[in-house]
Amino acid sequence: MRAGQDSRDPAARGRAVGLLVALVVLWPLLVVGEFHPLALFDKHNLRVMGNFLAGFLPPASGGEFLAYLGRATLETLAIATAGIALAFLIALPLTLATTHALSVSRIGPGPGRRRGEALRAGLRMLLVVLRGIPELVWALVFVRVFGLGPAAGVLALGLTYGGMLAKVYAEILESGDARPARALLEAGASRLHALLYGLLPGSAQELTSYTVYRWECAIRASVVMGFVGAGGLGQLMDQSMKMLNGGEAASILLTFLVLVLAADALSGLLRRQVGAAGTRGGASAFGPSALAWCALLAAAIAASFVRLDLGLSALLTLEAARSMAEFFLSFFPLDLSADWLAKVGKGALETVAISALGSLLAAGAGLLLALPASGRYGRMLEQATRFALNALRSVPELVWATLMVLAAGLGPFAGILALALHTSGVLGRLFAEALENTPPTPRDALLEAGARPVAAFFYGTLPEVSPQLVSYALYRWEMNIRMAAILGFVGAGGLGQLLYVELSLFHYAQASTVIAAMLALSVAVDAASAAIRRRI
Amino acid sequence: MFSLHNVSLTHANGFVALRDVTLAARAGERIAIIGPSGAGKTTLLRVLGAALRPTAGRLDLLDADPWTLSAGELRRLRVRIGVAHQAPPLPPRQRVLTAVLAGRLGQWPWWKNLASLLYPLDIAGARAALSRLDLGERVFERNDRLSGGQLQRVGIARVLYQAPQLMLADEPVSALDPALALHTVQVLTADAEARGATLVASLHAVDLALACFPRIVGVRDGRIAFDRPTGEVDEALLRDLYATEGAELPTLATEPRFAAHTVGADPARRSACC
Repeated sequence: MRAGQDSRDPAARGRAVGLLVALVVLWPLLVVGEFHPLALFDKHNLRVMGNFLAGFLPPASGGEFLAYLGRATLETLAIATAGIALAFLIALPLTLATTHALSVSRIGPGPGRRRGEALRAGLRMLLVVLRGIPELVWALVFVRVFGLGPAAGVLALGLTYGGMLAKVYAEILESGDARPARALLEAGASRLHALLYGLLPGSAQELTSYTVYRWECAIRASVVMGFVGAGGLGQLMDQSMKMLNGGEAASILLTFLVLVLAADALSGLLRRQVGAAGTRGGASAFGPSALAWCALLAAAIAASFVRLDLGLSALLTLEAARSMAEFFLSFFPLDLSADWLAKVGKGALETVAISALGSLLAAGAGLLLALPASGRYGRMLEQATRFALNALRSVPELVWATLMVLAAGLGPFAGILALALHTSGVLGRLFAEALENTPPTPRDALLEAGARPVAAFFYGTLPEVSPQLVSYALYRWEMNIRMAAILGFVGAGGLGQLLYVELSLFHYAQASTVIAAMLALSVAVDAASAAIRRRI
Repeated sequence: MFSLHNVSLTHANGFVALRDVTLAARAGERIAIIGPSGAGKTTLLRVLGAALRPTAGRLDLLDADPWTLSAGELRRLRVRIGVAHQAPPLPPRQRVLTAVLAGRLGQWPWWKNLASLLYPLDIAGARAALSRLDLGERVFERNDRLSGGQLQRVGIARVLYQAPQLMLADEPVSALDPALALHTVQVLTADAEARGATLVASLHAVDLALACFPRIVGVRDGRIAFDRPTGEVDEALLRDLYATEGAELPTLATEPRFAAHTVGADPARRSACC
């Protein structure tokens, strides 16, 4: 009999090794991230934060300030809308060129197959660069070219989101049925027509829905553009924070909350409209309401460009093109001296620590908040936590970072807290939805057998829902590595701090090394996260 | 052990599942509940399991009325009741081992519940319960690797491991082949007999009920149609219960094995069982 051996759990060794590896990885991250929770209770920090928070009440409501606030809010909305419109224009040709679903040379395979593949690979690399560099870094660079103002913000959003849209558009088109488009291409149709007649009918809804979702993200992103001088609410927030004016900060934070909630609601409404589209029988595919929405959209985009007065025509002169080219050339060659690489390496490690620890803390806090938010402890508590989650996520990471720098001092720990606060709002909401969608019977059966609620949750609910929770957390980690790279702009550690300093000193060769490091980090984290997700 | 007096239950959608049910059992009794689909068998078991609150009538469960107890007392009462479900509510991604150990969550202290998630604290106990149902080999596998019939037996192993005073089983062998179904019900009845626990099982197969249980309760339209020792159950009574004129009564096997002479009067078969 092998009874003695069989009474040992065969999975135990794997678990122990996993736990050990986690500890071995976590420990240096805690050290690099300067994880000192006690810093929050440091007397000096408590006093600064206390005075600042005491100033929150009452929120500033002076007529002049409110006029500023209103103008900045409009500017933020306009930057987001114009940015998304630009991103769409950039994404459209890139999608047509990169998606496999519309490849002519793959048919046969026909002539120019090699060249087609090479072109696609090159363009995909370009997309990685476009979206791998955080929009705020683009903005910071563009501010040097175009000067302070919204033009830098719009272009930054356009480039980063153009890269994201093109990648996701291509994926959506490839995930659908490619045969109708292929048949059209085989019949000699052009790519654009194959897209319109063969692919759009199946994927239009998903494409529109994702674009609307991105617009919602763009609003949150444009809020912070001002921190690098690219206009909007961020600029106002930056000034208020620098003067430690709590009342103004409170008003601006409330504006964030309203803006994010309104964008949520509008985005939901638009996506429902898209879902209902095409269900009417008639010669025209568009009903009056759809046409009205389109007109409204066009008006909003036109108004955004008019309001921002970007002066884009000035950019199109030969003179401007030459100075731009000179500016970009000054970033090369990268500074690869051992000294500088060591500094960048340390910054990169700090950035990884900030993103990983911030995401980890957020996953824990998000789960704790998701329990009441999924309605387990009554309606009152559900509403209260949902509001708290919305408040947490409506404040952008960078704004949280400015607050946390006051609460915990300069350095990566403030960055960890900032990421954790914002991300726990996002994850809490996603986790609550996942918990609501988990079948309740296993848990109920345990409760009916006299288990305590906590035990029933761990044995009945968590086994089913945990893969989804982990993969949500990993997705956020991918976003947070980009975010962690820029929190240093406000003194919260990581690569951002280096970049901000070098750009202010016009050290472009050094700055471009930092940007390359950011790009490498975001590609590496994407790969790591995808590898982990495949294994769960 | 338990008694129901004029218990009625109306579901929230207005459907009347139980009407005026009166039923009592002493400790150590083994009762089979039979009846056509939708007769109220599951509802009756859920009322006995303190999972559904009757809309009218008096319920006495293990010397207490569960619905007058405090939350803590109700929990401790439920620890003494175990249910084997027709579709066992086991998380597919959980291991068989953990699913069985979960039977004692209510008995273990809270720290033991959580520690057992890190390292299972009673592998031998879980394996013993599974071995009685010929599943000892599968103890470390995940639930989603098992067939429906194996999963049903894991659900039963959980109840065996819980070792409650009142064992309830809702069509516990519906996904098993005849031989395995018989064996599994035998394990349940033998366990109840050995521990002096009360067993109430609803069964689809009439012959299985007659062969393994000394007392049969027929349920129809939410009412108790009859409640007799197995020896007094005859074919007319059964045909009346299922209202099947000339058609076959539901049995274990696919071919009709049900004949008048086997009804309640096959001592050899019954001794083989209980």
